[in-house]
Amino acid sequence: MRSLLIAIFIIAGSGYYAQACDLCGCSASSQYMGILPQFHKHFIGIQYQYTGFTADQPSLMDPAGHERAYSFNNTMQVWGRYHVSDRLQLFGFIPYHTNNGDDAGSAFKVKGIGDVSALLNAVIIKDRNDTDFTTWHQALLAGGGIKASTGKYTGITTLDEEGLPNVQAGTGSWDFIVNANYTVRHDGVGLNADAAYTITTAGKAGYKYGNRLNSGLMAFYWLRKNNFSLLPQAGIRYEYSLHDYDNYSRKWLNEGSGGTILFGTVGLQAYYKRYGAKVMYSIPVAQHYADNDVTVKPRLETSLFFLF
Amino acid sequence: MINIPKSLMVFASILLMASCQKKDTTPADLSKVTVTFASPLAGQVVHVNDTVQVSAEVSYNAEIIGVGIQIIDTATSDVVFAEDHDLHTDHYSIDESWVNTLTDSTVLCAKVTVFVANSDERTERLTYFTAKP
Repeated sequence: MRSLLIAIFIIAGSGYYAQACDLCGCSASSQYMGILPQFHKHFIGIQYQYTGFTADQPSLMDPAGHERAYSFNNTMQVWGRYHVSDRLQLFGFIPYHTNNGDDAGSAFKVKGIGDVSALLNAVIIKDRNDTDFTTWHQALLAGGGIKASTGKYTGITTLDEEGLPNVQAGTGSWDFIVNANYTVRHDGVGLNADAAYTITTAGKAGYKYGNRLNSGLMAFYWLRKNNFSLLPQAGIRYEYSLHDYDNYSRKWLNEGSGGTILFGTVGLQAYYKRYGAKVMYSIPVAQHYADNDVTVKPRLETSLFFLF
Repeated sequence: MINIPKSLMVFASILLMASCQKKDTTPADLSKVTVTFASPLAGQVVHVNDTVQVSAEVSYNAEIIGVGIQIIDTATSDVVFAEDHDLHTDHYSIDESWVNTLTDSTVLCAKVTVFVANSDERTERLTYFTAKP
């Protein structure tokens, strides 16, 4: 029971953007840790994410004509948290991607280990007595990390050149992430705000994916009974991606890439003793990506945790 | 003790600085586009069911954003072959093929259209060859 009470201070993990299929398509695809349990120090989990997009572009030679593409991206990811100290938390991510799609009638399939990431977050604000349901509590985490160029990357693809989200397993670049995350709660009702900014670098082929902002505002309610906890949650997520560079050293800006997306998100987390599960579903409510040539589809995310 | 307002200012400054995007603004000069055909050769004769290889080297001193390749029947203006590619490079090797199905004698035109950055214009290079039954 005590462990569940301790869990009351749910610290949302820092928002974090992985651009394997960014704006992932990544599109504009994105990833964030969401609201994480604090009733054990460490956890390891497996996460599944589904994203997709369709594209409809004017033909180069015939503006009245159209070229169509689509991609469905599945990511299985092992991830976890390690408490370095009371003030430092280390997160790690090892994704595996399976992306299917079609570009103007040419089918493609990509699979493989993606770019491995690590984040180190400092606990800047955290109430000591967070088991009290009758008062206000707050928590603030901030930090940063790195995304290594470990995923398979074969260079600039036709999709890249057309400004579409990356569908390769890797991005070919080392990127840096800064993030902040704030949670406030009173009597089981809470609000979480997070923002993460990914600063990209150019890959070997000279291509540079646009820097990305991933932010969110989620409300949640904590239901408790014996060893069970349920956290229904709802909110919005906003993602903004700068233009890609087709050749960064020559400053060839791909103005047909990048854009913004606003998602409406609902989800549910459940915990029983040392086990947890999560499902989140996000629907784009407004988007302007790649000059409106790309349409980002709804996203699904599920996760299982083991806490220790 | 961490100064939160100051930290937020630093975070916002990082975002602001990292959001600046420079762009190559080299004025377009389409006269600097070069297209060197290796195939078909001017005046080349092809017959029914022959495979026509369109091979050419395209280069420019700045960014090429696309190329289009067409084979046109000059007698009817029919486009018998068309392909285009979005690009972001300063050189590109065209390598396309088309099987001649025309049963009448006619003059064909292989046309390469090049699109460059910072310009709404396009430039074309042509070579003529002949189809015979």
